[in-house]
Amino acid sequence: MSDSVSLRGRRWFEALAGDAPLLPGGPASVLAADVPLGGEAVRAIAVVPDPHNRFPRARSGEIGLDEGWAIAARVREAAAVPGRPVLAIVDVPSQAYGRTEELLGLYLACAAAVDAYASARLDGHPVVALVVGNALSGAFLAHGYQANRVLALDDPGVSIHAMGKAAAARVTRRSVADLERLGETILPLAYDVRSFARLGLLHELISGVDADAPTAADVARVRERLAAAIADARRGPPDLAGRLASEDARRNRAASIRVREQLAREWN
Amino acid sequence: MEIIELRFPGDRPIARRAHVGVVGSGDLEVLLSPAGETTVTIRTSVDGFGPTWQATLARFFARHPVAARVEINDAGATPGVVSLRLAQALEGDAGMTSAATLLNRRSFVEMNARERARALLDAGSFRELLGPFEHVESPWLAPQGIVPQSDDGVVVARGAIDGVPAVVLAIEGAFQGGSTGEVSGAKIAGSLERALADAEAGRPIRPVLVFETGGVRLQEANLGLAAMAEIHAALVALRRHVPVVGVIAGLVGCFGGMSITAGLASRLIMTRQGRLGLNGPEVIEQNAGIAELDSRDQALIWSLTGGEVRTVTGLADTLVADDADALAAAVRAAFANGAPGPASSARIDFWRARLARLPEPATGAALASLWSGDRT
Repeated sequence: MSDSVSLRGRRWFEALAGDAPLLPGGPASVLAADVPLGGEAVRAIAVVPDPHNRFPRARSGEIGLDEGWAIAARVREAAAVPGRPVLAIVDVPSQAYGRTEELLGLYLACAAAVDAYASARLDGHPVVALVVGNALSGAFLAHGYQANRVLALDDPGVSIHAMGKAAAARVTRRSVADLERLGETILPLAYDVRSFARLGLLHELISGVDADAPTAADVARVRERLAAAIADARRGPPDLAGRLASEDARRNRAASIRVREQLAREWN
Repeated sequence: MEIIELRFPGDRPIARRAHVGVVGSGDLEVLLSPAGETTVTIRTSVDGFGPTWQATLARFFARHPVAARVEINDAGATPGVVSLRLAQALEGDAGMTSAATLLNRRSFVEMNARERARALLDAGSFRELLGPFEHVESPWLAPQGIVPQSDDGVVVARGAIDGVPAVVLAIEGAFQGGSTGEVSGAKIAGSLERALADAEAGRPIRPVLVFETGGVRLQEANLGLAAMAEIHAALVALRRHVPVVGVIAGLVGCFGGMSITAGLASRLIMTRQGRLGLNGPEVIEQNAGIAELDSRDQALIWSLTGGEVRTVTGLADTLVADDADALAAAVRAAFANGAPGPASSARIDFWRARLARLPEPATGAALASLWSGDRT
């Protein structure tokens, strides 16, 4: 899954950041800048490949120990400014698969990132995620999935999933072809972003932009959609209730809704 | 998966519903309900054994001519196990509850999720929500030929802890590895959301999570992951009002996205048998190779992720012996101690300082010595 290193995260970060300076302090795998967008500064964060990462298992853009804690720090830094929006630019192949990572508590580093994003959201900061490539597994939980609004580029190279195709095939002892066939009939197993959108979990699918080499017009359009999503997040509640409200969610996440209704009836 | 419908004569009505067993390897789940005649619906993972089911059940219902609606969800149980589970279910009907069994079984690790929830709540206060007879099961498994379980592997139990209203969310590790699917995940997320509503309204609530899981259920992939994000969101919100206590006892441990949930808990209680990590050992071996981690080296796995090293290094709070009373006491103490300080997941400077130096070699022992004496 991380056999080829993706450049999309860095490319979109740089395109959206423009002249905004990269915040110093590293690590080199976590880019952060305060980007002017819609008349205010937005804290943009991306995790990118770093061939010199001190953890060998986190050199292809994975979320490792340093990445999880750095995301947490960058989000909390931004959340010190009342109302400042946070933008996660997402192109993450997976969490880091390593023995040292497990020993040193990679789960906690990811929890720190989740905690920071969720806390910022609860404190009234619009948190928006823009998926430009892979958003897989624990890596997406740590970087992007706590956003009030998740946007994705409508592109074949964009994939939001519980586990990368190759890894999922290895773990479930199915072939990649079998997984793809299953995804055609079982919606939550599909790897393409259009199928994902039908689960009602996306705020918006942005079509008509070149995900690999965005033009100036593409970037302007995405910036405009991000600003609109930030404004929309400000109008809504600070929780994730919106993910169960759409027509798609009522159809394809019916059990998620039914469970909550029944819990409410039986709670007391 | 095969579905078998059978019918047997019988005229002794049963008095109440009964539920025993788990859809785990070599085992089965049995649901009995009062009915005018005996009808049996079997969903089994093993095809082609219709005559064996017919013979086994005919023998059983000849000996016990009850009238009952019988639902069986089977994961390859032998005829002996089938008869045993049916007898257990009827035994409950005769008033001999599983308390008798519990008396000689105080190992918390060996308990199923329902028994664990009961063991952590004040005696007599257990009340299950969305229990087996409500049949809120996964809509995604049967279409893939996988036998579902009537509670989807999560027990939601209301009750009291030291007299204070509580909710225990216990994951059943024997069903699909305790994995988080749409329904099991929604049961946890939805319960935490209800607990949050209580806390926001000033009503006391003590939430406990009993982990036993490999993470997201890959057969429900994206809906499991979505539920996980909602669990995280609800937990972070709830933790602002009341402590949320996590228990990792074993045997499955706590891995995948659910380990992040554990990392968000206010307090974490583990046994020596419990393990906690983001990637399960098999997943690391499959993705990074056996040189990175040999998943069959049990001693190594426990030395990296087991309850002992997790508590010695401060990643978990309390190490408790595998005893139901000891676990219940530790949970009570975790709440009695009141609001904890900042959560581990929010102590960024502390953990980054710790990670500035790495243990050489990367072993639990080296880490314990490197990280000793810097607790604040």
